[in-house]
Amino acid sequence: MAILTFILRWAALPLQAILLWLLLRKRVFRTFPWFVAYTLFSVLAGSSRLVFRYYRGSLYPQVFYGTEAVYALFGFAVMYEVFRHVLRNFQRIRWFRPVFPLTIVLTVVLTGLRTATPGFRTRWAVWVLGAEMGERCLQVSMFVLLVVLVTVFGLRWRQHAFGICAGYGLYATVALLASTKFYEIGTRFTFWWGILSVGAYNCAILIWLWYFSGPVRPEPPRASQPPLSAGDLESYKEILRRVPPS
Amino acid sequence: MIVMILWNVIIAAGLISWVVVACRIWFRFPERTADDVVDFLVPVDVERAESLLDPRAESTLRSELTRREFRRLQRKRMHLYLVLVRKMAHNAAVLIEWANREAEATDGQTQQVAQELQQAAAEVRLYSLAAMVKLRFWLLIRLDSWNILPAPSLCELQEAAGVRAVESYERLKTTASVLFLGIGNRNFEQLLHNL
Repeated sequence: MAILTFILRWAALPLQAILLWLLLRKRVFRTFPWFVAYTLFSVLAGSSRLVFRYYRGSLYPQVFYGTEAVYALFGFAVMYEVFRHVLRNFQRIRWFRPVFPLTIVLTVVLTGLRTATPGFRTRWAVWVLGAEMGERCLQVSMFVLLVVLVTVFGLRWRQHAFGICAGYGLYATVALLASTKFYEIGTRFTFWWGILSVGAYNCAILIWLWYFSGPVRPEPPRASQPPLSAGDLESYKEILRRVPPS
Repeated sequence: MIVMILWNVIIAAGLISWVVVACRIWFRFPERTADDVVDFLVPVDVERAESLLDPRAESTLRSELTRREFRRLQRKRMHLYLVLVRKMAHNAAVLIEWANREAEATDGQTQQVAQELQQAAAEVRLYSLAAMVKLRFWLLIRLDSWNILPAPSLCELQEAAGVRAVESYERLKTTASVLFLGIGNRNFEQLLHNL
């Protein structure tokens, strides 16, 4: 059982190393630099956690919370990157632009209200965990937003932005659910909380591996002006009008 | 209490989204090529839509008919416009799937027109969704049976969610035609007829 738990706990490390190799090989840093940076950091953080857990156990909590704080920052940066990528399809819709900042504000407020516990505010670990919860909340919101966009507007679900969000979405949903259950049930749920969170994160990496293992098609830079100007459209319309109906 | 409810709503939304993704993967249409476009489109009478949204036509009806008659007719006109908007949304969905595929083409010009089609179709979908919500709300509160509020005006639907109805659909039609011609498809007249 201890070996199985060890494998499940640390399986993410080799998986993320493979993902990093795949991302670098396919030059994904050109389109998603923050996601590549996040994966690189995950490999480094995972390795240092492994070392500190088994060789310098006394320093492990500091390393854990320190890396968690950086994870949270990377998480926000990756979500912004994904949103900016998706935004390109909605450039002409003005009200779409503030969706991301509004989602951030709402999730921060909601997380602040949910995790505000009198007496613990000065402890930096609580701040880190709070930021982490906020990040999970944002990841689930972004995933839901993208699923709505894919369903309603027919955006491609096989695009990398959706893949990144799907991975985070799965992990964040399970992590939030497990954390909520942990608050309700207490320490009896510790084992399952750990298993669920780690298992979901491993599944998220498998999703990313699947998405990035496919061919990466270079997207041409989107022109600030549409390829068909108003004049072009008018002349095309004129030609179309002349076509006799069948 | 409200925070807890919102928190649980977010978790539930995440779980439901996964079910939606699974359903989409299961029921999705395999790679839509240019050959799978024409037969799946539903003809939309754009002129009819324009006339339904015309404020002058509506004010004429308002002045010539009694209040009761106008409310009844307006309900019929709303149903008719709902049918047209549903067709627009369907066609935009078909075209966006095709545009998604063509956007991966190697030819730069085709890619750019396909991206333009993606945007145009997304706008039509957005308009249709907003217009359908509004129309269904109007139909839900059954404005023909009670006289407290004035009958809703269809001209309000000339623009919804920041998108203009007829202009955006015309742009969708033209862009789809340009892309169709660009990839050298011979079934062009049928495409125009079915849009």
